Amino acid sequence: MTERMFSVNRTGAMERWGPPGGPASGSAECRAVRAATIATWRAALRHHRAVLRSAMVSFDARLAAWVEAGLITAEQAGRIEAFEHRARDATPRIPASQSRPTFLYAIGGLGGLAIAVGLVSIVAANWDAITPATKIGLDLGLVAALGLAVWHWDRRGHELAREIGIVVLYGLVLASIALIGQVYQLGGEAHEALLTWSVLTAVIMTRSRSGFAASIWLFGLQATWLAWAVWLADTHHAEMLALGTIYWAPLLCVGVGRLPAVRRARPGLAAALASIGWFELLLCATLGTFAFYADTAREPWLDAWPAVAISVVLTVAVATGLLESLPQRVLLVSCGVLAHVPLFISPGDLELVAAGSFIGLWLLVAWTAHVARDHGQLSLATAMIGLRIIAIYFEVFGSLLDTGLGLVVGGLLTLGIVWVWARKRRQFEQEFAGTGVGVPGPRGVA
Amino acid sequence: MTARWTLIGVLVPVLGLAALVGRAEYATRHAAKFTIPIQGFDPRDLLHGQYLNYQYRLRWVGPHTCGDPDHPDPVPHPTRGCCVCLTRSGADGFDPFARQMTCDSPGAGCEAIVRADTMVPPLRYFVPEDSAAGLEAALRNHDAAVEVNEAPGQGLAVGALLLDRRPWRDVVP
Repeated sequence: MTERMFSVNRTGAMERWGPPGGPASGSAECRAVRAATIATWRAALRHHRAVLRSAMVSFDARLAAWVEAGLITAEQAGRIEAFEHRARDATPRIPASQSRPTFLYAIGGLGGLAIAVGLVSIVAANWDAITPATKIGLDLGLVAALGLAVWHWDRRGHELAREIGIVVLYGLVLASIALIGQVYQLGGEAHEALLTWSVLTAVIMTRSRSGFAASIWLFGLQATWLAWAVWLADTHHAEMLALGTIYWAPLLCVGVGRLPAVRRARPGLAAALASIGWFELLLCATLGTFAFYADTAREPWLDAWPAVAISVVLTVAVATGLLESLPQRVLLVSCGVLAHVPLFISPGDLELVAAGSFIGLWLLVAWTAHVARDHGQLSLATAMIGLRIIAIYFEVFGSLLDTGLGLVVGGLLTLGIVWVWARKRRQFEQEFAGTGVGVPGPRGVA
Repeated sequence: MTARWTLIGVLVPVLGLAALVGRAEYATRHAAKFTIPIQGFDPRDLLHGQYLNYQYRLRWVGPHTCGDPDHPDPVPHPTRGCCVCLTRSGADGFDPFARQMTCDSPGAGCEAIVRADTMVPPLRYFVPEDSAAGLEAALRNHDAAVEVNEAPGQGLAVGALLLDRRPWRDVVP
């Protein structure tokens, strides 16, 4: 019965719900035992204080702390400790023959790295002396060997090796295209090389499972997209149209990342798509708010309208068909509006409008994160708002900075915002803790 | 099924790269080849960093109009859709005739039509660092030329650097 005196609530705190055991409370014997035990555990606590300070709270020290706080008796602490020691001793140990020889791995890795660097140095020093046929032959052989290895690792279920192999293969294919261009000097363009790279690696990159490989792939695809937008701008003198197409990339990322089939089959890819897509949409919208400072309304935006029309259709389709929460929908539409409209209409020198739209955007981000119980993004959003408010002060009352009063008020404003921000953060933390947040849940905008 | 898609995924880049090599090899073998004499872009500063800065010493024929009689220009203009028509002056393709023309002209009699922007100086040829000093001295005492091929898209693929019609490595120790 005494073993069931305490239960752990959802926040991890011990709650007392049954009668205590051990010697009768209040007796001299009890007090003596208790004092001696507390002294012992206090010594243990002192012993572990350094560990506690660095947040490496050992189990023994926690037991000592609980005894000292009167949450459990010394007898119970001893039994818990004995149980844990027995459990640890009973855990089957990995035989030396089967354990991972970390030191050997490290030495082996260093040796492999030295060999690789040496080989690269030898090739680089003799690059001009190596015949083109040898270069191309070795390169194709390397790509084929790595491809074979990736296929082998995929069949054997060696996930880490497969993921690393796929990423290396992705880079190697680009290097091979560059090598072919260097050897034959046929005058290809960078955007053509990037497109060839993206096409040749599309299938193998869909086989990766990790978010890291997915992120690398997405950056490669977006670099290709950007190169073609530059080509469109340069070759067809369609700068505005090209600029408009850049917004499609993050929109597509968010949309594809929300597709149920992608989320089911490739959760790592879906997460990378959503994270990168939302980050870039917010970046576009944030930069869009700064357009109110400049006179951009006179630019020939008419050329960009076809691209903008497609962006509008995509935004509506993603918001209505793929996003589930109202805040995310509102945020997506707001990103689209702020990334485009200020550029079209701004006559310049609208500091307060710029600040207001910026703060409005990040309030939406905060709302989205709050609804999704995403503490990290909520903190980021509130920090952005606070920084922008300080920036407004310096913009609007910049001339006062010449006076001591202006600096004093600016400093007080900064301190006030930091105080409000810290207070709201604590409030949100308590709020989230009260609703069981801490377990993985739906993310704010990612 | 999964393994099959992975196999396809690794085969596509391997076969694709092989196809690129094959296409480049075919284009190089079947393209018109010329050897064009060159001279330093700045005779006082032949080598700049890791590169030889050079310009073609073309054997111009016809007016320097790039197909535009109202705007004669001895240097082909890279932004006006200007091309250079190359025609052999001998069987070995050395020192071909060059004629300015617009890129959309039919180009009758031309063995290669090359965009002017690929021929406008300064042009650069990579030189290994350990051979730079020897090559710089050799360039002042020997006639230099480069082997070129017509490349897809009215381009020009630059091949070997020659000194006295021999590969430069045979001349520079």
